[in-house]
Amino acid sequence: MEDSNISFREIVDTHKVRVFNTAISFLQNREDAEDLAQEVFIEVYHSLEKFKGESSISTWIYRITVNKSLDFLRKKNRKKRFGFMTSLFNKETGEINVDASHFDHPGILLEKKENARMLFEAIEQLSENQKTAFILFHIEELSQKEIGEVMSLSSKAVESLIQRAKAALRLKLEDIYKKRGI
Amino acid sequence: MQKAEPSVFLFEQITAKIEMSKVGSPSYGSTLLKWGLAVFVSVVIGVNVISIFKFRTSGNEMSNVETTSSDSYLNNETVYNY
Repeated sequence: MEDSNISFREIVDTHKVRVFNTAISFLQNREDAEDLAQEVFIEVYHSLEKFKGESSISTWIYRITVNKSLDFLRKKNRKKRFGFMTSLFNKETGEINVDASHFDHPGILLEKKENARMLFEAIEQLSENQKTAFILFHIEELSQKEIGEVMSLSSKAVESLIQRAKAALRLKLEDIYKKRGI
Repeated sequence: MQKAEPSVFLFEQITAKIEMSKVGSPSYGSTLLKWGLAVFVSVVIGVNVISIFKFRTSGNEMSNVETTSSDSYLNNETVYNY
């Protein structure tokens, strides 16, 4: 048991930054990303014995992170659709609920935060596949081959998704700039 | 873009949740016992319901027999005094 705990600790220490940053790019909320990162590693802990080694361990962990992030976003969107009134204030902390369009990525320098906010607002509106491909390529800096392994797609399909994501982002950013009078 | 760091207590938070899920999960034996008890209670209730139903049905038949029985106070020899 102690040996398995040591190796699990190594896995967590090696991959926690990647998992957290991927989650935060999808969820655009630090607290949610922290919770999600915990859920990812709990899943890793329970599924470690079943891991057959067909892909690398990092690809496997990325896949779990992406799937859990997308599940989280789907649940969140379902709640939004059925919630007739959303509270301005967070029920637990009493703080004002922050809109995703005001998301401040903790890894972005102060002078670039405004641009990053608009970019993340546009990313939030992409389809699931485009969002995943774009985040993994441009933010996590995975290769198209690695992204293909995570998403179970060919490199060509990934390349196409990335191009379409960029085109879609360009249009959405133009809209955002217009709305803000920039 | 710099990488953001998660909580320094992430590993401890994870292990705490894993331990909590182990404590909360019921053992296989107690689950089997609960299911067995539920089945037993359902069977007992079912048997009782069926027997009550049968009793009522046979009870109705018997009361029908009584009204036509010669033990009824109304018979051919009844004298009506006016």
